[in-house]
Amino acid sequence: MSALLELEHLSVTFETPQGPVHAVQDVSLTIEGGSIVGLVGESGCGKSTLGRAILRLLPENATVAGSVRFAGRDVLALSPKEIRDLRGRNLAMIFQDPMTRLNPLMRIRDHFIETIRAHNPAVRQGQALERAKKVLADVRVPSDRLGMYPHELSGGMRQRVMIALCLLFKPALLIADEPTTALDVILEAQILQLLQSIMHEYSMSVLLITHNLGLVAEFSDRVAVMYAGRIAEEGATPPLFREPRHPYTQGLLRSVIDLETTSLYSVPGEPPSLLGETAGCPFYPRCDKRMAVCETVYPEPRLVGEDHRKVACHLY
Amino acid sequence: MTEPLLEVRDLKVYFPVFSGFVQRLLGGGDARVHAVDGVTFSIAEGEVFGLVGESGCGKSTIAKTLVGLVRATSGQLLFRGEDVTRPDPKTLFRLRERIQLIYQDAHAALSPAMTVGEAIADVLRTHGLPGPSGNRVQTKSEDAIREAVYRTFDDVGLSPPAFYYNKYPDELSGGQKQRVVAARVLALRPQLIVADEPVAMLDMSVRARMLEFLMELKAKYHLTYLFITHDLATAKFMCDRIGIMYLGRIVEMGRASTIYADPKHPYTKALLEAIPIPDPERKTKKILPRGEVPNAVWPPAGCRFHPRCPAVLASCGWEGRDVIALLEERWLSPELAEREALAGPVKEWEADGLIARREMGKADPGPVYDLIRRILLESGGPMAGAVRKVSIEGTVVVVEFRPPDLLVPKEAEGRLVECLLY
Amino acid sequence: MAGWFARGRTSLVGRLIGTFLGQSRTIAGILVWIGLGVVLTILVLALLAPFIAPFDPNTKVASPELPPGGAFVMGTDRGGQDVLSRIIWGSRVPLAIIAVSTTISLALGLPLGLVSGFAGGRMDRGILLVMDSIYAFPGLLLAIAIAAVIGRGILNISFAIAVVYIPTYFRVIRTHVTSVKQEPYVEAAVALGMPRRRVIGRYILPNVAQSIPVIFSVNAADAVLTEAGLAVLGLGLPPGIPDWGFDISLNWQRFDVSWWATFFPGLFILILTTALTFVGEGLNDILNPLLRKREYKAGAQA
Repeated sequence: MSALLELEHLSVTFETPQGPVHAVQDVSLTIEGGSIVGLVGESGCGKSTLGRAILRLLPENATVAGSVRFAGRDVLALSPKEIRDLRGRNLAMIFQDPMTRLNPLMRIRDHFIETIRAHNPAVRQGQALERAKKVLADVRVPSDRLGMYPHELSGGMRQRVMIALCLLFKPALLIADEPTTALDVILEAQILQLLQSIMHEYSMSVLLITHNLGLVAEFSDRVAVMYAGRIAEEGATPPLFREPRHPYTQGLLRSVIDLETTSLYSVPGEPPSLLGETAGCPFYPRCDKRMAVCETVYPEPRLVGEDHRKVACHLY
Repeated sequence: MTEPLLEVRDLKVYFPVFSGFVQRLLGGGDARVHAVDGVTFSIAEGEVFGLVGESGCGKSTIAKTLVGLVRATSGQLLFRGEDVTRPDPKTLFRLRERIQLIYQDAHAALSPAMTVGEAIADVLRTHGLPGPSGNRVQTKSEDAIREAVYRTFDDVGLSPPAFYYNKYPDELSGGQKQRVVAARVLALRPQLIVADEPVAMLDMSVRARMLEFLMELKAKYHLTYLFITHDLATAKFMCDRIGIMYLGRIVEMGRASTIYADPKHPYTKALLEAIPIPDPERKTKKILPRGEVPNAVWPPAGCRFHPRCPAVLASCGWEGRDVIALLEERWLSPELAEREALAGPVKEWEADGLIARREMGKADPGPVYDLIRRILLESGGPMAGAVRKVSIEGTVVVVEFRPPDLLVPKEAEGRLVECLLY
Repeated sequence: MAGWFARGRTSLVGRLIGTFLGQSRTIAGILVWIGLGVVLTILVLALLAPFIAPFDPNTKVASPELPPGGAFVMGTDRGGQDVLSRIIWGSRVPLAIIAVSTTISLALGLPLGLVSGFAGGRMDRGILLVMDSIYAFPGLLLAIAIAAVIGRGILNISFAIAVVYIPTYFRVIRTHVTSVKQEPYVEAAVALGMPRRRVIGRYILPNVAQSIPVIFSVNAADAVLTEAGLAVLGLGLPPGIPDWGFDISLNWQRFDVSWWATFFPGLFILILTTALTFVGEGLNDILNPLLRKREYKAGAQA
C-alpha cells in the first residue's frame, strides 16, 4: 500500500543576496492515511518551509530538489493548473494567524462561495451556501456568522472558519502550520479537540507543524524532530518521548518547562545559520555526546531499535 | 510587618472604544474597554509575583500602568507607601528609575536604527550614571558613559562589551537582544522590574537560560519582579506568589505552591488542565470551558467566568445574553434548529441586562413561551435556577433573571478566591 | 567591497550605502547607477561650463538657425547663439533650482511632518488640513500663481516650487511617523523616561529617514519639469540667464524651420528628469526591503 504522502530526499534552498540558504536538506518522510504526524522543531529549523514546499507555496527564490509524492502523484512535476486543483481539494493547509489569512473586505460567506467556485465553477450560490453551513456546523460555528466580516469574529472562530474552508472538499491531508501558536492555551486545547473529532469524521490525515512538544505528544501518532533543516529523529510518538535517542531530542525534552519541572535546563549554544554549506552533523557544536567523526561526516538517518526509529546520529 | 514595595488598590483602567468626537456621537456613546476592572494586590520586596492569564485579561495593561505608559482610571498605586497613581512629569521621571519594564519582544523594543550600545548610552545620558549611594550623577563625559555601558554589558554576559557596543539589533540573536533590553533597564538601577512575557518569544531550548539569567540579576541587583505570563508552567517555577487574572479581575491569588497543589477557582483548574504535557502516556480527556474569552467592553454580569464555567451555579450572574448564547449553541444542530424554528432565529432575540426578549410581532407568542420554558428547563442547567420568570408582555416573550449574588474575594485554605463556590 | 562597507561602518548612513552597494547588480541597483551617473555628468557640465562651452551662450556668434554641423555641433538658435553652449550653461539652472527648492521643502516639510505625526490630536489635524489644501492644487498651477506674485529670479522660482512640494514631504513623513510611533521601541523609549524631543530626534527620525531619498528624487525631477514649464510660459528667469525651458519657449514656434533649437533643450530636460526618476524608483525598491528589516531574512525562515 502506498503511503498518502511520501517525501524523498527533499531539499529547499533559497537564493539570497548573502548566498544560498539551505532551509531544508535531504528530508525523507512518510505519512500514512488516517494518521497524524507531528513535525516539531524550533524557529529556523525548516519545518514551515517544508510544509509550504509540499503545497508548492514557496517564493520565487526557492529551489526544490527531491520528490514529493501525494497519493502516488509527483507533486513537484505538476503543472500550475494541476497544483491549483490539488490545493484546497485534496491537500489543504491552515496557517498560524487566522486574521491575516482571511480577506478583511470579504464576508465569510463570500470566502466559502469563492473557494467552492474555484474548484467547481458550475456550483450555484444556494448550493455553495448549503455546503458552507454544513461544514460550519462541523466546526461548531453558528451559520449567522456567514454574513459577517472577519474582524467581527473572535480569534477562535476565525481559526475554525479557516478549518472549515479547508474541509469543504474533504481533503485527504491537512497541513496545519502552527495552527494554535497565536491562541491562548484553553482555545488551543479546544481547537485541537475539534481537529481530533474532525479527523475521524472526515478520515483525514494531519501533518501538524509546531514547536510545542506537548501538542505533539498529545495529538500525534508519529513525530519527526527537525533541526537545522534536517530530520534528527523520527518515529512513533510514545516510544520517542519515553526514550529519545538523538541528543538534540533529549536536550529539547529536558528543556521543556512544564508543571513538573524542578530544575532548569537549556541546550547550550545557538542554532546554526542555514547559510552556505556545512559538513558534518549540524548539532555538533552543541552536542554533549559528540565524537570526532561528527564534525566532518553527516550521519545519515538509520533505523534503530524495535520501534524502527530513524535517528541521524553517529552514536547508533 | 514591613511595608510592601508595591501596593495596588482597586485599580481600574478603562479605555474608550471610540476616540474622536464624531465617532462618539455616531457610535455606541461611552463604550469603554474594561481592561483592568478592580485589581488589588501587593508585592513584597525581593519577591517574584506572577500575574497569570490569557490574552485580554489585563495583565499587560497593569504592566504599562505601573511604568506610567497608561493612566489609571481609578484606584491607587503605592510605591513604598508613596502614592504614585497620577504622577506629575517630574515624579514620573524619578519613578521610572525605580520601576521598569522588560518587553516580550526584545527585537521590537530596540530601535533598528540605533546600535545597542547607543541605546543604553542614551538612557545614561538622560538619567545620569548610577552613583555610589543610589543617587544619579549627570555627566557629559562620553568616555564615562561608554565605560558605564561596557560595565552593564559585562553584567548581563555580553562580553567582550566593545564588540557588542556597535552591533545593531538585527545582528544579534533573540537571547542576546533580550539581554540588551535587560541591560538597558538595569542601567537605571530599578527596584521593581515588570517582566512582560520575557521568554514567550524564545525557543524552548533557550528559555531556561533566560530565566536563570533573570534570577541571577535578581540576586545581584536585589530586584523584585512582577512576572507576567500566560504560561502557568513557567509561572509555577519562577514565582513565589501568583494572581490568576480573567477579564480584568484577579480570580485567585496566593502562594504559588498552594495554588498549584490545590487550585480552587474553576478557571485556574481549566488553565491547568488545558496545558499540553509532553508525555504521550498521559492522554486524559479534558473538560474544557465552553466558548472563548468575551470582549472586555461588556463583561458578563456577576462572575465574569460564569458563561463558560463547568461548575457554575444559579447565582453566578445569569443574564439575557446567556439565553441567546444557549439558543445559538443549541441550534448548531440542524434538527433542533428546524424543530424549534418557531423560537428562532437567534438574531430575533434581544438581550437587555437581566432580560432576554423576543418580539413576536404578528405571530402568536404562546407556543414560543412554552418552547422557551421547555428549553430552559431541559438544557439550561444552572441557568434555569436563576430564572425569575418567563412571561408574555403584549407581543413580546420575556425571560427575566434574578440578580446575581455579590461576589467578593474570600479566603479559602491559604489563598484568595473570587468564586461563589466558596 | 559592499561587505566591507556594510560591516565596517556603524553609522546608519553607512549601512544604507552598504545595502545599496550590495544591491548593485539588481535591476533597481542598475537604475540607480545609471541615474546617478547621468546626474553627475550634468553636474560636471554645469560646474565646468566656463571651460567646456565653446562659445558665450548669450552672444550672437553666427547666423541664426544654422543646422547642426561644423563648429556648431547642435546648431544655432533664433538669436544666433550656439545651442550647445546654451545647453551646457543652461544646466546650471535646473541643478540650482533642485538644490534650493528641495532644501526648502525638506527644511519645512520634515519637521512639520515629524511634529505633527508625533503629537497627533488637534494640532495634527489642523496642519494636515492646511497641507492637504496646498496638496490639492495642481502643482504647476500653484507654482505659476506664486511665481506670478513674487516675480522672477532663481530664488523666487525655487521658492514657488518648494511650496508645492512641502505637503508631499509632510504627508509621507507624517504617515511614516504615525506608524513608527506605535512601535514598541518608541514606547520603550518613553518608558525609559526619554524626553519627547529625544524620542522624536533619535528614535523616530532615524527610522523614518528612509523615505526621504525617494521623495527627494521625485521632488527633484518634478522641480526640473516645473521650472521648465514656468519658463515656457514666460514666468521663468530673466532673459539673460541661459535656461533650457526658456530656450524652448524662445524657439518652439520655429520648430519646423530649426527643430534643433527646441529639440536639444527638450532632450536634456528629458534626460535629467528621467535620470532623477531612475534614482528615485531604484532607491525605492532598494530601501523598501530595508523597511521590512524586522521580518525574516530572506529564506532563512523555518
